[in-house]
Amino acid sequence: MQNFVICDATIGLPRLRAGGIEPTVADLLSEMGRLRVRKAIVRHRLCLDVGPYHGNQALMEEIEGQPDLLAAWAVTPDGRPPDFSPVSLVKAMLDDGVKAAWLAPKAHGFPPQPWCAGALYGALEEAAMPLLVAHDDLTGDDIDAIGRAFPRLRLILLECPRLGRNRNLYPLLERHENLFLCVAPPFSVHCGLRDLCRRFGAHRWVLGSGYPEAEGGAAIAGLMYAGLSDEDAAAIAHGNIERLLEEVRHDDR
Amino acid sequence: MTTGDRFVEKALEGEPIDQCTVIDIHGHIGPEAPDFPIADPGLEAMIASMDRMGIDLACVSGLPGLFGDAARGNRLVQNALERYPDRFWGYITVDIGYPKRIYPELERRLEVGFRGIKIWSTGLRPGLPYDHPNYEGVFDFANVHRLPVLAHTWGDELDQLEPAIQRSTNVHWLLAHAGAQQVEKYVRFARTYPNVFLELAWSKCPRGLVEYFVDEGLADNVVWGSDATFLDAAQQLGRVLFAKISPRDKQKILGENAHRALRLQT
Repeated sequence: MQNFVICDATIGLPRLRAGGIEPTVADLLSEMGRLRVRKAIVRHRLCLDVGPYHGNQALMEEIEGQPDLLAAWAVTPDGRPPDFSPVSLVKAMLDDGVKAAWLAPKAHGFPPQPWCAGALYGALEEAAMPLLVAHDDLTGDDIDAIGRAFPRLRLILLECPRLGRNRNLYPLLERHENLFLCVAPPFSVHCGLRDLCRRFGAHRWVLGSGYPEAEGGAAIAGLMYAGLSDEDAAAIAHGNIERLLEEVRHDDR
Repeated sequence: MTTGDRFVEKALEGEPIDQCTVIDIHGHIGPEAPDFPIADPGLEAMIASMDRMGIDLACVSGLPGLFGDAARGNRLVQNALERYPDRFWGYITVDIGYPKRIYPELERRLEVGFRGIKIWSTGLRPGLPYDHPNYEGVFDFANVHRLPVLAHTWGDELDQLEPAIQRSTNVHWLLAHAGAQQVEKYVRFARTYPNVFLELAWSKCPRGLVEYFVDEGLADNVVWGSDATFLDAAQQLGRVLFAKISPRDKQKILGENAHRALRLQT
């Protein structure tokens, strides 16, 4: 297969140099070429290190002119200055062609429960905009509460752990049909992808590479050797996330 | 578009690696760990998974043996050795907290075809440090019988193991999860001790670690292990298949070095 779309890339230099890897746009594009990754949903590290909206602006500046890099903005329940409205934040994202959002409640200092972030979830749900969030940023109770209050919100869990046939995630997947998993290191589970497809179908899993920390080839091999049908493998490699992005609604009224 | 590297080409198409021997030097058999069940733990699923990737041989220990039930864990491995003698190779596990049980279990399993020992001291349910006296008999047994010892390590354990590595020179020491922490220490051990091999399994699949070991001149000292069924062998295999190293070094890491480390005859 020569067609992969990854959903979990993060660019931006860490505050202190770590190892020999510099996660710049050039480095990401080089990795994408090596791994046959056609498109990547990209976030910016400065969203965590400096602030969400500073990081979003840096992201847009750095990926400008790169049609294969798709921005995911960090979002907060209070929106951004000057109007602090999550509804207008989502509208601004759509106006800028941004079709994915990223929630980082621990870094940005808010509880992800609907009583705090409900207006944001509602705006994202209305736009059918996928919301990326790291597995460890939410508890099972958080996911359940969000899924019950906003059942059409497309929630994509990143950085899922390696824990086998997961006793936390499986009941949540059964309860919430718009809960999606990004399969990438460290989701390294023997027969895990096959089991997910057998129980829930192939339409709820998207691919990640763990860029910049992980060897992206691990994710590619994990998918290609999972023993799935060509159709299911293609759905996970690129089809599912392409469908979600195509379904994002921009209401100009 | 092609890469010119058949390992990468095979992986991109999901085709089995058939251009060299592939030995998974770190595997497990068993239905569950304390905090999760294995989705499909059967031997048939393992063989099917190995066939998809082109893994010729999986070297396994019993998961129950890591957590305190060595006899039943070893029985699972023995069953695999009996049913698929060409595909599995067995490590003995022992209940390290009970010295009187250790030697009989080692003897019993050696007689029926196990050829290595797996030790595991840390994790959520800690066992004994590797420099505890209970391990001395285990290491002496391995030294007398020239058995490889696969040791779960996470950096600090190397200090506990160093005296045994120096003393038990007939043992090939396989340091699992090499580079997960204190990577320079692993490099030092591999350079200092000719009977040390570095095993790669780690769920985080860190970018550049395989290349780092090769750049440090250790292409002959690194062995590939998956930690399946704890982990997914395919992801772990991908770390080597896609690594930015030569195809020749991939051959060594995927099988040739393990052949030497395990003292395989054929």
